[in-house]
Amino acid sequence: MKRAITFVLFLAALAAASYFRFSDLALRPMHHDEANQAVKFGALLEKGEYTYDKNDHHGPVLYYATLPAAKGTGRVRFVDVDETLLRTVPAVFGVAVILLLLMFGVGLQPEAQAVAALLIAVSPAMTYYSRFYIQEMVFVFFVLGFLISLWRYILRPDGGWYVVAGIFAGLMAATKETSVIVFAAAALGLVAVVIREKFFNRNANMPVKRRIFAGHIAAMAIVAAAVAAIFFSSFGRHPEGIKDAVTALNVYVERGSFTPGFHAHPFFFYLGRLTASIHGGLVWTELFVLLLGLAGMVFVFVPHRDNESMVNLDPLPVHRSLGVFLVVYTIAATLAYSFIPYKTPWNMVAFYLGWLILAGIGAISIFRRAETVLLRGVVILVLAAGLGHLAWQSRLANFRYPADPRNPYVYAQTSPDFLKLVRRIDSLAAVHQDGRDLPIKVLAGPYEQWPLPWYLRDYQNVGYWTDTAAAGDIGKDPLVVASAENVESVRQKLGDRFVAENYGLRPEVLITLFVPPDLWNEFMKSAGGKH
Amino acid sequence: MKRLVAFPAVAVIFLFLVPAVSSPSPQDTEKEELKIQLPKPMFVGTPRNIKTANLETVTGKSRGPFLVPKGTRLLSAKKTVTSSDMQPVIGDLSFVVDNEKSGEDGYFVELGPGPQWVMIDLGQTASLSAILVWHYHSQARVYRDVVVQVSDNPDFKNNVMTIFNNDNDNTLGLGAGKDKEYIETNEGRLIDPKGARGRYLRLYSNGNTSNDMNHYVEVDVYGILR
Repeated sequence: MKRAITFVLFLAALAAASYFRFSDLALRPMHHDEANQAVKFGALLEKGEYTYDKNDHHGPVLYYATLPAAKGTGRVRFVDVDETLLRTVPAVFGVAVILLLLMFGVGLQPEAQAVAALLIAVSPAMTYYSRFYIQEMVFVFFVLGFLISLWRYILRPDGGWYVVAGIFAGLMAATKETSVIVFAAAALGLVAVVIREKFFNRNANMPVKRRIFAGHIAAMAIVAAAVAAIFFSSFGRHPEGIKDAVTALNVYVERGSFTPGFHAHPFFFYLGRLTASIHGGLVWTELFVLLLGLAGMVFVFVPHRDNESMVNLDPLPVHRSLGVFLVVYTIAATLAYSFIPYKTPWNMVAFYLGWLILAGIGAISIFRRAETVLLRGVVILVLAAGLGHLAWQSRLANFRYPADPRNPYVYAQTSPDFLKLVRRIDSLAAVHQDGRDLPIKVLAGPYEQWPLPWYLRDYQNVGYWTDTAAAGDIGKDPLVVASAENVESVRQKLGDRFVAENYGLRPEVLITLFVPPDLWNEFMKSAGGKH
Repeated sequence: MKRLVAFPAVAVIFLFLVPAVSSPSPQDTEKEELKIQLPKPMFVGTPRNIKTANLETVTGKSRGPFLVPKGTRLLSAKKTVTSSDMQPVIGDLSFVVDNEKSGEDGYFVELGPGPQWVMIDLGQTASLSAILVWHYHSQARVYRDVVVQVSDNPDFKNNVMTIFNNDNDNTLGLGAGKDKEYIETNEGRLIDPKGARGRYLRLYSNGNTSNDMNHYVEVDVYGILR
């Protein structure tokens, strides 16, 4: 009966996760980071070209993971790729994270796995960034795979799990440079387990007593390096990528710690967003997860009066050493990410994953400590309400406010208004004699240019300049898109005869489209004056 | 001789002209300054990167006095408000006419994405003197396709007068407008209805430059019941 309930809960988690991750993936306008990644993938798709850029874009795994998705659906041209296809890739990894929980085996009991799965499935942070074509959810999948493999290795050092851990570590490194934070936090977790079992739990027949072999760790590192090298070298076509990947660490340390620019945020940036965000009439919180996670952390260290080897009698639904490992990893990663000045909200999922698993442990621990049927009923009701609230917030975050700056998971997001600019350009091209070959000049700095290159990927004559003077003659009837800095100089060149329209690029950032009067008149006539 | 004739003539003309220039005209004497209570500003100065073409610039200066016919009073307070979105997720439709203009949270109603309208029933036909609209003024943003119409009947099928329209491409299908777009501020948008008469007011919008939603902090309709 218990197994059946657990199985049903796990299936429910997979169903909820799939709903939140795969529904309406094209709803949110492309974030400039997504557009950037997409264009990078486009080069790989059409020309087979990928060169690791140590200054930007992170590692290559995301692009190579997208390749089978595109080719499997018969898309060989970048223009045929759309938002849904791209975002399906992180969404698949977002669901796979839940399946990966099963790899914990007996170390994390099925009930705790099921509750953790449900929490991961409906957590707004996890759902939102599973729908984002950036590296985060791919990275989180590899992080979990690495942590579980490491645990399985501790449990059985002669089982070959160090190779699996090495593969996951290599994939992590080839996905995001911030993998070094996870490696450091996991190493601390490992040390904590060793200390616990060597010095505080000497009498127990615990796995670490069987020794962690230095040779295994070395082999793990070699496997990780080999896997990462394969990706960074573009499968051998660009060997310099390996060297660049090593030197990239300097770039990311410099940026993360000393020159974070407008991504500099205070220590509580991540935890604050998760705890409560009240803005513009909307209230968001994942405090439920944090509190359950804290409970899980406490219960891991609450001693059980029975012999620890009798795991089934212990209300803690996790092997204590694994519990310690998860607690130390989660705290260390949370602190590390919080201390680094450079912060973007999606970075938090790498440590928030630990909180979610510990929340599953905390929930089952509380349930088992409730000794009466009434109390257990109350615990179940509270858990159901908490999960329901998270799911409701996920619905708002992903489907009603996916691009709204009041949504705490939204960060420098392209406004929906920007899509009106894209539609306007499409409508103008439809009535222009050159169609999608009509010349378009974009006069804007790099931050105002994106995500236009993604949306205008089907246009053959689009040029990008950072200022008006460099763009040459702009008066010969092309469409001109200008950022605020360039509007005045464009007007001086074009005069007042062009129709100027403003569109929101991001909150408080407008971009202006200049349309020649004859093209505008043609456009107004084309749809009976209704657009 | 010519000079002697010319002098009295100029003097007579001067006597007629001076009062016309230095004292209010009969039309002005029937007017008074509209007293508007403004909420406190939520942002200062011209926002970065939002000063562009076809958009009224935020000058940071006061709008200056606006004259309305004597006897003008606020007609919209506590009147019935209906909308194309009768179940707003945030706030209540009554917020539109509750005389609370604060830009802080809890003072605005949020209507769904895309084109939406609110309609105020003044209770009886009035001659309108001024309309002030605050969509959302805690962040610099532009609301799209703002159209304000007055009518005698609630279905707005006939006898409809459009008194403001910046829907330049006729997205809403109410006709292309020539008014400029504007940035929301604590001063609200003052619309001169030029004495238009009607009982019902409809205000349209179509999302804004920050998000898809439509918001109203307050709509003040001033006029004279006749």
